[in-house]
Amino acid sequence: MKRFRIILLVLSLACVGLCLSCGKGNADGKTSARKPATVSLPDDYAMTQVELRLAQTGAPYLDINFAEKELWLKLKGAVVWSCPISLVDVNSDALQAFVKKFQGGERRYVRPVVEKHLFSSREKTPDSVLKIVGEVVKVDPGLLQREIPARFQLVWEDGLILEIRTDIKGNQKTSFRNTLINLSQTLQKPFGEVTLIISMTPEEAMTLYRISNPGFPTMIHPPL
Amino acid sequence: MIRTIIYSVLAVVVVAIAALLWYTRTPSEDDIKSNLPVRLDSLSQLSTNPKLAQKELKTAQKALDKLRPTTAYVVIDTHASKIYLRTRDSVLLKADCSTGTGGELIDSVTHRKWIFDTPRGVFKVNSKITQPWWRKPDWAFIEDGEKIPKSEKERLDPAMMGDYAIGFGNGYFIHGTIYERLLGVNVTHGCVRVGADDLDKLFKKIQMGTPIYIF
Repeated sequence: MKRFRIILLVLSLACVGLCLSCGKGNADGKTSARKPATVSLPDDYAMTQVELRLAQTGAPYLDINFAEKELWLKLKGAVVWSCPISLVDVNSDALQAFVKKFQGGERRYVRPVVEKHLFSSREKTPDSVLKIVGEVVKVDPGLLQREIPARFQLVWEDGLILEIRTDIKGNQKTSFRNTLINLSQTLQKPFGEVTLIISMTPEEAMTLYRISNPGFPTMIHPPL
Repeated sequence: MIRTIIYSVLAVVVVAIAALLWYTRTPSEDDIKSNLPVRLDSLSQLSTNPKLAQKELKTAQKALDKLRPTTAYVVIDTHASKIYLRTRDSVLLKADCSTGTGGELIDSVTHRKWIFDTPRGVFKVNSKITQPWWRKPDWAFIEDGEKIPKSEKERLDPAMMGDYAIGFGNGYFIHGTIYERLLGVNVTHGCVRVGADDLDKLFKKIQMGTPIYIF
């Protein structure tokens, strides 16, 4: 009977220990907490180093995290904006192609945005309202206006495109260059240009559109 | 004759496509390198010794964790005019806010210049004030075309900042407003305005030293 009690006590202690160690693993904000076992050591090291460099700059950066299926804007390592990666065409193999192209032969984890194209958008507040507000606060109404993008693209070198769509009906930007860009992208598709199309809310798109100018650093966490 | 026409048409098409591709070509990373904050291709290689490699990885992860906040933190998105209290994984509070216009004011007499922008970067809560009074700075009088008063009393306004003010340095505050209808529009002189109910919740949930991320 005594031996049985001792065994029971040892088993209980083991259970408590196991629970405590699981709890520690889920602590918030720790790098190691979400690291999947399948990421190789050199890859994990490269991603951590890249992020550390970006975080130390004190400027915001974009983390396309396919492992967590989220886009994150980060500042000094802290997530300041997040949005789920919602693919418009879930059956396409564009995601794999995008990651492969992003990493290239040298297994890169970071690239700067080199261009962005706005195809259609809507004004956040009517100009007539901003005119009145501008008079009250004594500011040029043009400074107060925000555009909500309906469709825009972020472009990286080597024909890598992330297209963002929202569910608002925007006014087409009928500029000559946008028409030519559409045509050029159609022509270049068979020659290795990769376009990944995702959707997000207008509010999320507005933040991403406004912050990601040419030179904006982007890092990637490949899918598991 | 027909052959010449076909060849001419083909030549025009080829030239047009070449011109199109040239005109819409994507700039290279070299073209925009000056905008990059760091040289990103200079990462050190991981040791081939597995034990040493593990140690190097842990050191890098620790350095990164050290930068990250350990408690809930405030985020101000000046692009979408939103304020959040959040952790890495969840948003605890989300509200409309107003941030700086980015406009400028020049005093025609003294030629002093003010730019009404909300500062970007990482800050910390360094004061929490209930029932704050606004001490109107010189620009507030110049903007209204009024004379700058000599008496301190004439500068004080008890209503403008709402019920609470959260200071984050250099005279910048997150505070209430009497212009709640303008929340969501960037109409301020650099401070961050929040509606009364949301400010009340935020004020109660944050402590001195809570990080504030503004982008």
